[in-house]
Amino acid sequence: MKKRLLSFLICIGCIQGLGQSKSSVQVAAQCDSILRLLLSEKDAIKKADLNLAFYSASIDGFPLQLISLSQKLLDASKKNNDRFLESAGLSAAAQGYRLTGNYVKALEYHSNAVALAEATGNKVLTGFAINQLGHIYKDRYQNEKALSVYKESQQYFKAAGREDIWYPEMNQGVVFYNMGNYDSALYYTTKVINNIGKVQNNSNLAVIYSTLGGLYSQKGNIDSVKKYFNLALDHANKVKSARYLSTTYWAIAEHFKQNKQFDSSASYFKKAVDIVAGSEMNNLVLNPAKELTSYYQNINADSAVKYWKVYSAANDSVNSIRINQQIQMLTFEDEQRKKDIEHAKTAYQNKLRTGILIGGLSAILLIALLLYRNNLQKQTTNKALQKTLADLKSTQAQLIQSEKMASLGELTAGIAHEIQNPLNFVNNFSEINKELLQELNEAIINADTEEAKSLITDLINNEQKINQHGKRADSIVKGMLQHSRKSTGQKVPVDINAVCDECLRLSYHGMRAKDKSFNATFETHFYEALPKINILQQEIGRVIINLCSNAFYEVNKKRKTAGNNYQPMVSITTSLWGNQGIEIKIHDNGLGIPQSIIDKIFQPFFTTKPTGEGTGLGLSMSYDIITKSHNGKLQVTSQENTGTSFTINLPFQNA
Amino acid sequence: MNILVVDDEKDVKTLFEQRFRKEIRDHEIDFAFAFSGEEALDYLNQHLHQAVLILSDINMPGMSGLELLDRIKKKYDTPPPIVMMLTAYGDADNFNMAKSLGADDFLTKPVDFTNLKEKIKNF
Repeated sequence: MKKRLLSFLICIGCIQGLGQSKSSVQVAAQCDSILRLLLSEKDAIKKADLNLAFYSASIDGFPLQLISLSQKLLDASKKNNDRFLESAGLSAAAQGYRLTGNYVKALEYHSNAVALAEATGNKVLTGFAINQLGHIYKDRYQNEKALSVYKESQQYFKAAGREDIWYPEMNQGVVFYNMGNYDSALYYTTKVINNIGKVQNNSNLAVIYSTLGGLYSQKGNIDSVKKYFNLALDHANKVKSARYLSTTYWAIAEHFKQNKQFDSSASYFKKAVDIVAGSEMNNLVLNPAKELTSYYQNINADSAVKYWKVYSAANDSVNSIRINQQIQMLTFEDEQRKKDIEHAKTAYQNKLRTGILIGGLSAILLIALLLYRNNLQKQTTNKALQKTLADLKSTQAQLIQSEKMASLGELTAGIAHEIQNPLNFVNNFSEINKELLQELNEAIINADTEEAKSLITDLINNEQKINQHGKRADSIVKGMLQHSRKSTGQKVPVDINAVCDECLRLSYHGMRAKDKSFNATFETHFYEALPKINILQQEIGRVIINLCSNAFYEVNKKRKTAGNNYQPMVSITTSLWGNQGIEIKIHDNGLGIPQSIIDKIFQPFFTTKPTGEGTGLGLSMSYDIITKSHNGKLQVTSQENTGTSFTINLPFQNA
Repeated sequence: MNILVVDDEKDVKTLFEQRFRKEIRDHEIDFAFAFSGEEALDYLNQHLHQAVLILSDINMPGMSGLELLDRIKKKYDTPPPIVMMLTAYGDADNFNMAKSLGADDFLTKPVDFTNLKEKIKNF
């Protein structure tokens, strides 16, 4: 079994080295056509896939082609100022440097490629660049670091919805293999094989198959070992890549070594060394040469020295202290860059948070300012309103006073007439008495007793008349004074009939004096037994004068339009209001109040009189005097063209 | 001589009766009194041509003195009775109105009875 496998492997090994340049040309041609497509492609997703296509076309079997491709990509990127192409170019160059053992340059380029890819925002490109970066740590057995880088790469592909890109898994499989964690290695590698499915021509299959071969070797599954190593060799030969062949030989050699078939092992180590020795991938000789050194140590000193020299040269180029330090420094810088990005992100978030906070505060401040301004405005308005209210109150007070004075003015002529008449009587009767006294003197001289008696009777009657008319004038003057005087607020017992009579006359004569053409009849229907009632006399007087004046005004208005048959008439009637008070009714047979305005007549400033003739306060003042000051009622009933009645009800208990 | 006095003030009657005491006693003048324009017209309807002189107040409730004057002058045209107006308001408006309605004279209150007696004697 082992012999058959060995001979089979050797047989395949024989054909290596044939047509390598031809295949390299094919790969180059394929990559050139991919490059043309890439340079003309605008869509970012398709561009990322085209970039991956270089590697599917096995370009990383040929480091020099990678360097050449990177040059073309970087040229194009400069021409078009295209960061995508620049990142892809740097990744290609880095891979070229890595495969030729220049890890310092490779790491530097990879780091830049990752930074640029991140800047483009293209997740597939970034995932790829990171994946490529991982190779540096994988090759150098910095396994933990390598795993974390591949994981990061995997996350980028996942975020792009491209879990079909299996490079990170494949590489993690290799790292786990290197770590001796074969279960994990098998898990990842099997997963890749299952996913890879259709992509049978991918050159990476050589790597995957050789990994699987190695894994089954570790597990002692010889059938699978044979199967996968054959597949690996098959694919490596297809592309004739020295790199893939070398790594596959190396894996086979390790398998033989594992099975203590040291001669076979040595022969595969030799193949692994020979196919790359002196080439640009001289670094790949490192492990096989080391193995050969120890193999020849006890067998052939010359060979041992020879391979030690090969190993030592490779090792110097790859693992010198200086290089290790540079790698460390670059890794540190890369991590620093990441930290800076994180820091910038955090700073940005903080700035954003601060911004939002400041924005929020500004908004609140603005609202507060608006509210404050509103409040100020309201306060100002309030002040203005209070001033207006005060002005209105003072105006109202003035208006009420002027309403009083206006009604007094209306009454002045009436009052004059009312005083003039009794005064005339006083004068006339006193003159008569003077004559009568002379006649009486003569009668006494003539001793005419009859005549004297008659004269004395007349004198007495006349004196009574004088006295009566003097009192009448007196009461009118007092009433006038009360009318103009401000209310004392003292309620006194008053004979309502007398007040009504006087007020009716005053308003009648007032109208008469004002309008020469005015004429109307008035009637009084007084309930003689009406008890005295406690009221504010001048206030109630004002109400009655107001109502009577309105009544006379109304009948006079109707008289001007009605025919000769119309007899203007105002009447005032007093009666008991049940047992709770008294009632005064003032009626006119005027035009009546239209129903449309009857509800408004008690409103202040409502008047139907022409401008200048009425203040519109008379009825509203009257209403207040009756309802507020006397707890009474003032009601109106009216029929158009028939007349209007105002009814005042004053309760005895009106305090 | 019949004189009709028209005034809403009832005491006017007493006043005239006292002032013209002698003339009444000597039957030189007969007084009739009406206390409103309407009453005055009633009296005139019943005692046609008996009143030769009418003394009327102007300011009266109901029919005013001027209205009464107008009616008398229109109704009793042959011969029209003499109408003298008596008023407390001796203003030009009242005076002109009375004159235009045909008032024969215009006297202001308080009545100067000496003057009135002279005027009556001259009719």
